[in-house]
Amino acid sequence: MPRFSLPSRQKRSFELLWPGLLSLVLIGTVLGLAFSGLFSQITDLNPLRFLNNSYLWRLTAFTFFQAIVSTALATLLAIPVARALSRRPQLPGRRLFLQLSSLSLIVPTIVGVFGIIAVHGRQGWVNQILGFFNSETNSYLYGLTGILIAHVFFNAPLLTRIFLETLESLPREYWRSTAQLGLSDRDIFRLIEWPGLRKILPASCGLVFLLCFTSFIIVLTLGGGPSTNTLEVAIYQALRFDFDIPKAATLAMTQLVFCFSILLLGRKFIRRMPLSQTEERQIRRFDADKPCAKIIDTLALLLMALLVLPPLLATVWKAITPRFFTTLSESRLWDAALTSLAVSLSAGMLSLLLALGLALTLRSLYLPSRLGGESYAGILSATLDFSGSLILLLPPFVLATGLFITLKNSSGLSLLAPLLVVTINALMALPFVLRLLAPAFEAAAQKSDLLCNSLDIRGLNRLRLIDWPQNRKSVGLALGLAVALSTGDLSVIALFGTQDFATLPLYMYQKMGSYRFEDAAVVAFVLCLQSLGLFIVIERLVSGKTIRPFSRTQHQTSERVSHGI
Amino acid sequence: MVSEHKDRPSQPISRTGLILDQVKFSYGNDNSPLTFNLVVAPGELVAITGPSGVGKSTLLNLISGFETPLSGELRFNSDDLLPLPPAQRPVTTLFQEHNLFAHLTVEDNIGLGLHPGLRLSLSDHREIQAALASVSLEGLNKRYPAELSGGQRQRVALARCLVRHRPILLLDEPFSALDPALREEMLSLVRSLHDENSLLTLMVTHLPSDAEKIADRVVQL
Repeated sequence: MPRFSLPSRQKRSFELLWPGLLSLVLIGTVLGLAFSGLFSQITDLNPLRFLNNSYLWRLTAFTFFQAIVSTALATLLAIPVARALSRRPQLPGRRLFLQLSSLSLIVPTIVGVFGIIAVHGRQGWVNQILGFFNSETNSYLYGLTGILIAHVFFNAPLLTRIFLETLESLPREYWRSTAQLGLSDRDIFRLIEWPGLRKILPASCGLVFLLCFTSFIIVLTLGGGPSTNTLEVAIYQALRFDFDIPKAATLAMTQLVFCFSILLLGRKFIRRMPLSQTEERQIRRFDADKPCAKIIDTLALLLMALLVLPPLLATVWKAITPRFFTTLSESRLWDAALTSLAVSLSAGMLSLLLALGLALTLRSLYLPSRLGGESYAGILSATLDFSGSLILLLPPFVLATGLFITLKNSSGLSLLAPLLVVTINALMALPFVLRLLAPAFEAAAQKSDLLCNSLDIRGLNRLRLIDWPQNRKSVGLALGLAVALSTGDLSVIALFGTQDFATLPLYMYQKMGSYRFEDAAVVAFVLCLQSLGLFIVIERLVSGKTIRPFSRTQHQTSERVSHGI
Repeated sequence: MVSEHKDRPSQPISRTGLILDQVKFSYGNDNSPLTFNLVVAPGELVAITGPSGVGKSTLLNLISGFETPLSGELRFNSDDLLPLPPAQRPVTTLFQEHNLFAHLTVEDNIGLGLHPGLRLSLSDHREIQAALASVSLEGLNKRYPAELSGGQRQRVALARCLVRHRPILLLDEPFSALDPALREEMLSLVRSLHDENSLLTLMVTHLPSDAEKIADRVVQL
């Protein structure tokens, strides 16, 4: 059919749909390749085989066990800390804590693990203090304790932020009413705060549970032995050390089945995740001065501080070493830094493009003035949205395993490895990027869509004149975050990394593996610098702000729209 | 009887009722502090009007203890209110919105006025029924605030104010969000509850018509 005879409505629908469909097809292709690889290696799909396999059984049981305990501990710590912060808006250091807790997404996991080892390890600060008092020093870190410490270290601040945001979203009149009615501390928690928190508890705890369930670096470095292995680490070992692809595929499928069941149980996963500082709402609560409130709050804050602060301090402290400049002058460090730069920038861009496609089409599907009224709008928007968050369920190794199996014969491995690392890193950042972009695009379109329609501004013109100026702040934040996440990632690269193809986190892990902790401390320093630096520079450049990393004034408007993931 | 912003009470009158004497308050910015002088006799229903930003709500917040003044005296029947926390002041407040906790039923929301831990006796439950009847909402015990209209929600909040048996009732633009007919109805309800329970009532409103409709006296801030 010649183009001009197409009905304009169909043509217009296509114009609005193709970006999202293209992203969907790309994501679908990657997933399809991965799954065809996995299925080709599983000869026996009999579920009873799983029940008979005691190794798999123990592995799964421990994976569940550590994830449940980690989530429970993080939640139990986060709730009292969030309460304390909520009723003490003037607390010194409050702002710093909140900034640090959103940084925990950007600070590479391996760096956090390094700090934990520096504090809790055999020669760590805790044992040094114990030794000073002639107490018996012991090594308690490696094994379940270490895994739990690290999981709580990373997730309790994240949960605290989510809980705090929930508490702060309660109307100001609530606190006035509770004060006037004379509710006790216990009653305020039981009758007011808990019902509020309970609503977001399944989603936020579900997210943390998944993060712990699929956690890799932490279990790999702190796990300590076969008895404390998780599925994720077992997949890695099967691939990296045993070259046992069928075993890895079986493990990956097991992992996948459980992750999907968790999703089906939890259904709605958290749509909002606090990333950067939100505006500070000065809500005065009247229950801060009661004695029991003071005691509980002090204890909670102290516990959180003891958990979170020493590893961070240790990371900085350990970098100041005589070997600082020697390590800095190693050429392999700079090779790794450059590789990291290339990988993270490519992955970040890819992730951003995929998310942009999804977000552009998603917004058209939501707006009644565009495609919102079409019969397929609901299903298609749900599909697009889900495809963006799918990677939260698919552990990177599962994908990597599948892709590796499918592609291993098709081309040289030297080219394949970077390609896989970039692709999977991009997919790993996608849920975060999409959660930043989609709401911002929707909000902006709602404001200007009718006007654009009436002036017939569309296609590239609309992108250039309307969408870009309206959304560049969220785009900057999203790209900065994606690049920072990829910079710090140590998952797929651990599988495919070689001497010649190593990123900074892998290089650091290799240093730690050969017990060169002084060197590792310097690498950690460079890695943090690179990750944070890239985040700040990209965010400012793309957002069109002048680069002033430590000014804090200009942030407000963009993040109010888009601070949620 | 004094309403002026800056001057002292013109006549030292009886020691009963609510007295604000040179109560100064500042939000901590550079603006000069607000000063409040006001005497309200027991049984009086006073409407407070004035342009926005003049401190109408601040006045109520000072009386109920949600804000702390820089200086001045706040007395009720010769008791000094300033050292008391909000819960121990002889005051109950009706806000413009969010008076009710959205996750609690009507019954529980009112019950909180009787026992702050919701441990309610049989007679408490009877009192809740009576309070609901007095605002003409019998039978809505198990509803949630979201299932009520705006006017009904404010009635439930009024019922909670009643079961607390506090002598001072503060209303902070309580019906501004309601349509005119409903507002009129609510105003006469307030007037009759005020009379039945012999309350001392202060109502902040930005509508002069509301003020004139039910108030014994209108204070222009």
